[in-house]
Amino acid sequence: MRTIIKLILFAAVFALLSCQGKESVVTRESRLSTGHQLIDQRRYGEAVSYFKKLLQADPHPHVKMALASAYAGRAGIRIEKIYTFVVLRDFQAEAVSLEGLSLNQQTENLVRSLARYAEHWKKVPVLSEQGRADVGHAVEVLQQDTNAGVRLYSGVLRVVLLKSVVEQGLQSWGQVTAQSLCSDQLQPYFQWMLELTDTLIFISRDLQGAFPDRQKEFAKYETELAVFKAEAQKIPWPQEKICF
Amino acid sequence: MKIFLVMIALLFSSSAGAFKREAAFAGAANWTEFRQYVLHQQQEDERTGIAYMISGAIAAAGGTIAYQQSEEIFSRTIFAITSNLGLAAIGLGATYYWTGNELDSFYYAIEGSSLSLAERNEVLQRFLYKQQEEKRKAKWIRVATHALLAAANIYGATQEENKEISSVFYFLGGANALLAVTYTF
Amino acid sequence: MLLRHVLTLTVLMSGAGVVAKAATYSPVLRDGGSRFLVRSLGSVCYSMDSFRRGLPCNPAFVAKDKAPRFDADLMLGSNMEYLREAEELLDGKSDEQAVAKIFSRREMVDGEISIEASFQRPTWGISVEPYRLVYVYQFENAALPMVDMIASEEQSIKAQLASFTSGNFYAGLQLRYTHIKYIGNSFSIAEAMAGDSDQLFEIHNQDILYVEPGFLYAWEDAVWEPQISAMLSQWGVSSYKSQQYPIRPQGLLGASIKPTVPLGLLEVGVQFQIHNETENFQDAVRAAITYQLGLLQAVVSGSQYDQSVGFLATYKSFSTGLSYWSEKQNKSVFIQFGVSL
Repeated sequence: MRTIIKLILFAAVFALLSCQGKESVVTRESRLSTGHQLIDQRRYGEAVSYFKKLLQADPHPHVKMALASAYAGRAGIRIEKIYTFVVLRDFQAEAVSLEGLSLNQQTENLVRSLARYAEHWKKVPVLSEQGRADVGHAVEVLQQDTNAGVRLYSGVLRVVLLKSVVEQGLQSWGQVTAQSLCSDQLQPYFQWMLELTDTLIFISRDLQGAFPDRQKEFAKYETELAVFKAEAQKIPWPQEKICF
Repeated sequence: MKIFLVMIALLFSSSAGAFKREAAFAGAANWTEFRQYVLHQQQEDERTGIAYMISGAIAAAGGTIAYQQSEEIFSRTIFAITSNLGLAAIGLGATYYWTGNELDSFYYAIEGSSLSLAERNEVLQRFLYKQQEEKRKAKWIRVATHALLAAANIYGATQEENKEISSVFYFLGGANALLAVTYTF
Repeated sequence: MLLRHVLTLTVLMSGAGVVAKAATYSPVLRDGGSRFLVRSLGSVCYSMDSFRRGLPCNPAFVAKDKAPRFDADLMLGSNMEYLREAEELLDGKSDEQAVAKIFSRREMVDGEISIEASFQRPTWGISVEPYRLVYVYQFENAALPMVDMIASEEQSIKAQLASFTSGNFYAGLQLRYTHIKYIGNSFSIAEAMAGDSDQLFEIHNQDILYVEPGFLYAWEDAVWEPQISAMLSQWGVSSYKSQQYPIRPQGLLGASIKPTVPLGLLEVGVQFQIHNETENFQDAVRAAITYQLGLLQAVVSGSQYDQSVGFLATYKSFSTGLSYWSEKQNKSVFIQFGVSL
């Protein structure tokens, strides 16, 4: 019996030892996880509100990305559609048939490269107007952060935005070109092209932040795009209406 | 995976021994006590035999069905092995049940003879002495075998350039060294 | 294929950089018991006899179990396919279908590979685990996946010493030294793909020495052989404080009985596991039943959070087994190959 009493005493000491110093289990990860669950359940509106509040208390890059992803989710952007852009991977796309054409090697490579990017491009979803607004908010949330992952995500979202703007512009252009074309109708497209150039400049900046070791390469693109934009802005727009 | 192959090799090497159950009578050379021990062992053998036959049948049937139902490669491998072990266990169980242990033959030979109790005790004493002597020899053979295996594996480990393979050799060398030391007690 | 996974993880472990912050392993993955039956029985193994492989969970049992033995086991967790998919995703090699598939389930996935050899004599035992790989992955947020991961490589050595007084009371001490090399972090897939992603995979080294006493009182002459046990586990000192491998002692109180059955050996056990995150009584309880007949040993165990069911087939010196384990967000299949000499 004395042995049993000793055993019980030991057990009591163990229980005391093992219950020492209870630590808080609420961490940033657990808070983020709560919001991620809302996204996984497609409750995007609630996720946006949740992460907005969390961002006020904790402006960590993960919180910013979570809020941006809630906006992106609401816009209908699924990861499998943009994954290839996130990882910037070369797809083995169908090669463009170049038989019978007399192209040099450099041009052929360029065309092949464009074909590959076209494959990536095809997967990027086209957003609705509300979706574009959401992605716009997402990009705003991310814009001040220098974290490489944040910059990459921002760049990807801008690509999605770019595609929607391009698609809309091309659709409208198709309608316009069905009729006779005049200079006053062309002016909005000229502005549209300048806006696209701005977006490409932002993407170049995002990529500089996302890949610091390739910063020079992307900075060069940015400079070239800025030069192109400046040259385009120098072109005087005709005062009188000219039709083609 | 190499470890797995080594284990399979060990399985076959260690399964190559006798099929009958080992039994050792540790008491004094007294025929009455020996008889009780053998009869008790026979009951145990029958019980163990039945247990192996039932569980073997379950393992063989269950393993086959589960193998067919399972899609995942690791699970399928285990079910296939279990099914095979089950079949082997049925045979092992039958052997235990119908042939008993290694003392049975000696017991029936003496029990059925016209020897007096004193003579039986004397034969038993000689038998147990011989059995112990053989066990002693077997023990030192085991010590030498494992010591040799330890030395060969450790030497192999020092000569092997591939770190992964050399660690397997060291593992086997250490295990065999430990076994060699153990068998000396 | 296994070696390829291991090598991939080793490559993954070759970065340098920022402070890691990620998931903590569950106590069951930290308690050093890589044996198949430990995983199947859970914490109840500290109070049960039906544990004839490797060193017992509770060192006091070394003095009770008189049979000397040597055995070596290889244990594998079977989430290898998921691990490969996760690695391809993080390497940027997944296609659209694979990405959609991996995010179609929201659960934690863990896995384990272990090789362990142990040697047991009456009153003492030693065990060497030259290699143990443990990993836990969790993906969440289908819009921008967040990865919570930890992968570690461990080497351990365990020594158990035990004695008994008045025949029925056993006391033992386990000393367990573990060297751990791990990576652990929580990051978004965008961070993993960005230019400075190497920083996410810094290798951490940690050394832990656990001192774990255990006690057992067994009524060995009673019909159902009841016994009660107590153990303090995961109590020790660490080379540094980490979130992945914290020193969080836990107290274990358990009991078991062996109801008489006509054939085979039946054992039923229950365990109360108390640590600093235990909030109520139900959280601490776990029960297990094992039944051994011939070459088969069936094991069922469960708590209010998880359940495990498995079997071990032992033929002569070879053993193999399979165990399914599941909880709310996580499920695993464990398999084992073992040799006893």
